[in-house]
Order: sequence, then structure tokens, then C-alpha cells
Amino acid sequence: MKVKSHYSINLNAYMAGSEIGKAFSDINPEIIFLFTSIHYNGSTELTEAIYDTLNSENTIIIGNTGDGFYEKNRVENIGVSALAINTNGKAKWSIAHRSGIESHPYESTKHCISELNSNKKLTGDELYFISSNFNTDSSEIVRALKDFTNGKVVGGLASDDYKVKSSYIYKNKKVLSDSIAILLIDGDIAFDIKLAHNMHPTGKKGIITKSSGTIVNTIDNSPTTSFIKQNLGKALNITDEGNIVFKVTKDGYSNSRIRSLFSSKDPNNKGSIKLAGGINEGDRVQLCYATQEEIISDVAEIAKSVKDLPFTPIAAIIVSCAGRKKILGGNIKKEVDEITNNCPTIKAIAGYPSLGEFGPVKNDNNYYNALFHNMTFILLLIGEKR
Amino acid sequence: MEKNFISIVQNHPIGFEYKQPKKKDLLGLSIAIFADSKDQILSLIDNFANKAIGVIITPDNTFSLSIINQNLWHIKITKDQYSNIKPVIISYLNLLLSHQESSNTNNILKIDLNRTKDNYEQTSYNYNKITKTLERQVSTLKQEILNREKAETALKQQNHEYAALNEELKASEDYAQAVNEELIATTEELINTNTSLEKSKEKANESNKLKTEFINNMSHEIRTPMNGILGFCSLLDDPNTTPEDQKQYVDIINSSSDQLLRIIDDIIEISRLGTDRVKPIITEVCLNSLLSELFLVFNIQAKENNISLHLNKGLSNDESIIFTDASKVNKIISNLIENALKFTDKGSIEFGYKLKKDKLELYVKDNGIGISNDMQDIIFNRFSQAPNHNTINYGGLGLGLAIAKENSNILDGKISVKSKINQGTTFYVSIPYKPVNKISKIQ
Repeated sequence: MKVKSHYSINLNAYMAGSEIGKAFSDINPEIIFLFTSIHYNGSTELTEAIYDTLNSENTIIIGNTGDGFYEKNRVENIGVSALAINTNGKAKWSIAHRSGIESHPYESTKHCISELNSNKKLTGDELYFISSNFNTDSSEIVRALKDFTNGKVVGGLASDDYKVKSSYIYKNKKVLSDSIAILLIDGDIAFDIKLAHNMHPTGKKGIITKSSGTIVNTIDNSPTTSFIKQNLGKALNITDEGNIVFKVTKDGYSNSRIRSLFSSKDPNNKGSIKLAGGINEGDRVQLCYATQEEIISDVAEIAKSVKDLPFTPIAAIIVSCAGRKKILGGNIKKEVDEITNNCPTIKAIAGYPSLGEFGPVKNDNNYYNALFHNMTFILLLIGEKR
Repeated sequence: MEKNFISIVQNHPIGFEYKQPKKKDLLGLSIAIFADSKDQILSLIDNFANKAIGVIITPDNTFSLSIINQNLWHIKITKDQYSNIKPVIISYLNLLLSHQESSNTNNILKIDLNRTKDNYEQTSYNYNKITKTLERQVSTLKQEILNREKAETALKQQNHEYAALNEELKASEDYAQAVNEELIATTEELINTNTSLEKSKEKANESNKLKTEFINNMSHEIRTPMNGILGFCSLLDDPNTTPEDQKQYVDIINSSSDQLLRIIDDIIEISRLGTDRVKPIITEVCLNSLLSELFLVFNIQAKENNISLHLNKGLSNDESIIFTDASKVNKIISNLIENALKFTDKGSIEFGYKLKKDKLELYVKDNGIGISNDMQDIIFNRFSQAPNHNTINYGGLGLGLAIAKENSNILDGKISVKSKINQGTTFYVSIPYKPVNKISKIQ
């Protein structure tokens, strides 16, 4: 297996793409994971340049925009990073996309998966890599993933420079909006998915008593803002956006997931808040406060666990919440550094800051259904089977 | 050998093979001619018509592959043409590339700066908003503190008033407690007084009853001798009465008169003894002589009743000379001997005295009918007689023992009795022993 990652900070889409293509041309990649900042404005020249440079039309490209990029040697707000893989035919790569993810998230996801799964003998060991525009109901995407996949789904919501205005999906030469693209990976390839999202809990747990989608109206039959005030010790304000998260526990899964505070503004003036992901009535939640130290140590912990994998990972894709980037500020590169420092076998790293992450929760080597997360660091490790 | 050749002239250059270049072609560009106007480049091309290998002209001194692609032509030139033009345009190319890089860097910096500026503005906005919120909260807290301080002051004042009220209440409680205790004491006193009054009432009733009985008895005791006197006086008038009968009648009249006189004496004496006017008349008295006289007086009656009478003297005659009231002693012993003679059918009567420390214990002992235990206390009361004694068989007012007791008290003495039914009775009278021989003056 040959892997490589490369980055470019050239604002010229074609030139940036050609740099990427040029860097990968020697390994003749089967797949390129492409992550860019929003500044290429949806230009097709980037992917066009990659194909022009590779001089190959067979390479599959999947990716999306994010709030900057991650690469093994660089982390920036502007530019592009990519990870290329050639398994010499051992892995099988299939890609599909569907539009209408904003209005019909479930259906679009379902059809996309159906297209991928058709005419295939699925063993249950497949991996799905997902890129979706952010303006959608992610809980519906998750519902479709639970219904039609084995649950091993990794990916995230495309984002921009944290202005939450636009985003793009890359599928081969196409640059898509209002779409979802899914890559199916099967065959003789090893992978593992790790999640880092431990936050410092504060206060007592409460039960969501009234909610609708991403809006949380009441917790323990009291307005959500009251619950937050009681457990935080102060009223919610604008500076808490991104720092305050809810850890969702005992909702039917043994592990927890995170929901970030999307906005401190009360959407209906009744003490409600809006989260960056859907939440259900009956879910048990606990308020958490994110700190830089916890974020980085959390990543370090999963990086250290990589050595216990039953295979040797040589490539890694990072999907990390843009909220974590906001907290880390100038220390954003430390997340990547923890991976490179603790996983010396990994030669190629690429990724992006997202507006939401998809990742399964694992227990005793059995994966549960795919979950949607906020404030989470997802690490996809790829290698060869021994 | 083909090389890339690019121009932005509106019409394709004449005399050259041309085609629209691909972007890929532009990336492979190694040489370019940079000029400010197309006229200039045309002249260059003309000059190097056979030598130029490529030209890039950017309008307004900017370089964009997209723009060039729309307006550029790909022209083939020969190697010789390339070699000639290369030194001329290489510097322009480097300049162009350098400009491109710095432009890219500038753009990146600009974007980063804008992002930083946006973040700063957002942070400033957040900061101002938070500051205003905090200022409002501080103001609210300050007001809250003031309110609480006022409330605390009011509370302290209230506590102070409550404390004072509490003190008053406590004082009232203490007063109420004291009143209650007084009330309880008064109630107890009233109860005791009531009990005492009840007892007094009972006593009074008993006394009235006794007095009524006494009066009835007295009436009977007076009538009996009076009837005897009057009856036998009338018999004396009978001319048929013999001298022997007359003597007998006179004896009876005398006896009845004596009896009547004794009754009247007893009544008068007991009346006098009931007041504080009776005082002892202390003289030197030979007790032995006094008792001997009484023996002589009562021995006659004793013999008539077939009772033996004995006198026991406890001291010598000199030692028996004491300071006392002779009449009181006489009266006491007389009443006791009279009672003994009255209630003894047969047997003996002994009287006398013993010296016990500083007391003289006088006694009268009989073996008569005796007195039951429950009556031994009340027989010394006025107007009371032991049951069975107040019968027609024994007669009397029942004043003898009361008189004996009163006289004993006057002499600073004490009277007591020991008796058993049908086994006899002994009366003791204990008086102070004041021998004349040892005491020089009468106190």
C-alpha cells in the first residue's frame, strides 16, 4: 500500500490542485481524500487540475470544504490538503452522491447508500466515508445510516470559515452543493476508528423533557436556560457558544456523545437553546465545559492507543469539530502533533475542521450504529491487514 | 520541437500555427514574455518572429490562468526561436512568478487578516455585550445588597423588639407563675382551712351533741337528787312517818343534797377551768398528809363497797413537802378515787405516788371494768364518757376526768391512763417535783 499526503496554500484553485496532483503523481493513487478551505469558492479548477496533473481519469476523489485543513506537516485556515492511497487493487472503492440533502436528508442518504450497496456482496466489514453539506438535519442522515449500513461510518459535515454560509462537496471532478457524497471502502484493507470527546462535566444530569430537532426547550421540566444557569453557576451568554456542550448519556448507548451549543440566543424566548445537532426527549444530558488541556490530552490518549491495533496504520484522516479549533486557537496543530508524535508509522495525514462529525461508538470490537457528534475528534486509521 | 506560446491578442497572430492552450499547458510554461500592452508584444513578436517561443501578456499587470485561457493562443515555434527569446524573457518570467507568489501570500494574509478582524470584532462585540450584562448584573447585585442590608437592619430591629417583648412575656410568665403558686398555696390553705373547719364543725357538732347529752344528763343528775330531796321532804310532812323513817328520810335528803351539791360544784368548777382565770395557788404542802386524809375519807366508802383501799407513799414526810396547789391535787386524786370506786365492783383500789427523776407520778389503780383503747383518749374530754359508763347503773356527768385533766394542766402536769377491759384501770398524774427543802423561794 502506498500512501501520501500533501498540502497547498496557493489560492489559485488550479495551481493548488496541480500542486496536489503533482505530489501524488508518482504513486498513481486509486483514491484521493480532498479537504479544502472555502476560499476556492466552489471552483472546479482544483479537481480539474488534480486530474490534469495526474493524467489519470480513474482516480476517485472525495472530500469537502472545511474551516481550513489538517495535514501531517501543516495546519492552516486557508488552502488544501489531500491524502492519496494506492492499494494495488486490494481495496475496492465506490463512490456515490445525491443532492437534496437539505430538504430530504433521509431519502438522499438512503439512495446514495443503495447505489453503493447495489450489486455488492457486503460482508459487514465495509467502511463508509461520508461528506455532506452542513445545512441539513444530521439526525435524519444518521437514521438512514443506521437503517442501511453496518454502522461503520466516518466523516463529517462540510463547513466554511466558521461563518456557516456555504460549503462544498468534492466528488471526482464535481463540486457539489446541497448534496451528500459517500465512499464505500471494502476489500483487503484494514482500518480503525477512534473518537475523542471527553469534556469536563459540571453540575448534575438532567433529562430532556421537551425538544424538537436541535432545539431543546426544557430539561427536567424547567426551561433549558434555567438548567444551564443552575449547573454553570451563571446565566448563558454569547461567550459560551462553542465552549459549553452537553454530554448525552444513557440514551440507549453505553457511551456518550456530545452536542455543542450552537447559539445562546433563545429561539422562542421561552428559555430554549439551539444545539449543533439533534437531541431526543428522554435523553439524559450533563453540562460540560471544554478546555484546551482536556481536548489535547484526549487526542493524545487515543493516539497512544493506536499501538494496540491489530494492524499497522500508515495513513490517517482527521475530522475534528471546528468548535475544538475555536477553543484551541493557536494550538490547533497540537491535535495533529499528538498523532504524529505517538504514531510514527503513519506517513500521511489529511483532514479538516467540520461542523459535525459522523463516527460509530465501539464496544468490545463491535461497532454500534453510526452516531452524529459535536465537539468530537474522529481519527480514521488505514493500513494493511497482516 | 514545440513550445508553448501564448498571446492575448484578440486575433490570433498571423503566420503561426495556433490552438487554444489547456491550463495544463500553461503550467508547463517555462518562458513567457511580459509586457504592458499588446502593441509592445506584437512588435516583439515581429522582431523575434522566428525566435519567440511564447508570450504571456496580462492586462493590467495581473496574471490569471483563467483569464489567459480565454484569450490566449497556443503557437508552435521552433527551437531556434525559443533559444533566442529565452534570455530576454526569462527575467520577466521570474518577475511574474515572484509576483504571483507574493500576490498569493498577500491574498492569504488579507484573508487571514479579515478573519482575524472579524474574530476581533465579534470578540469586541461579545466583550461589550458581556460587559454591559455584567454591569447590569453588578447593578442588580448592588441593589440586592442594599435591599438585603435594609432587610437585615429591619430584621435586627424586629429581633430587638421581639427580645424586649420576650422579656416582658417572661416577666409576665414569672408573675403568672408566682400568682399561680400563690393561688395554689391559697387553695391549699383554703383546703386545709376547709378541712380544719370541717373538723371543727365535726368537733362542734360532736361537742354540741356531747353538750346536749351532757345537758340531758345534767338535767337527769340534777332532777334525780332534787326528786329525792323534794320527795322525802314531802314524806317528812306525813304525820304518820316514824322517827326511824324520818331519820332515814333525812339521811337520804342529806345524801341527795350532797350529790346535788357535788354536781353543781363540778359544773361550776369545769366552767371556771374553761377560762384562763384559774391560777394555781402555790403553798408548801405535805403530800403524804394530803393523801392520808383522802385515804381516811374514801376508805369508809370503800369498806361499804367491800373494796380494799391502799395508799402507797413514795417519799418520806419531809421529802413529800412540796410546793404545789393542795386543792388541785386533792381534787385530782379525789376524782380519780371516786371514779375507781364507781367503776369497781370488787377487789381493791390502790393510790399513791412515785418519784421519777424530777417528776412526782401520782396514780390511782383499780381492778374495775376497765376502759377500751379507743376510748382512752376521749375520756379526758369534757362531756364525754366511755360507752357503757353512761348508764343508769353508774350515773354522773362525766366531768370528773376532764376536771382532773384541767387541774393537772394548771399544775404543769400531765394525766394519762392504762387500762384493759375487765382488768382494771390505772390513772397516772405526773406533776413537777418541787421539794420545799431544796427550793428556798416560790417562783
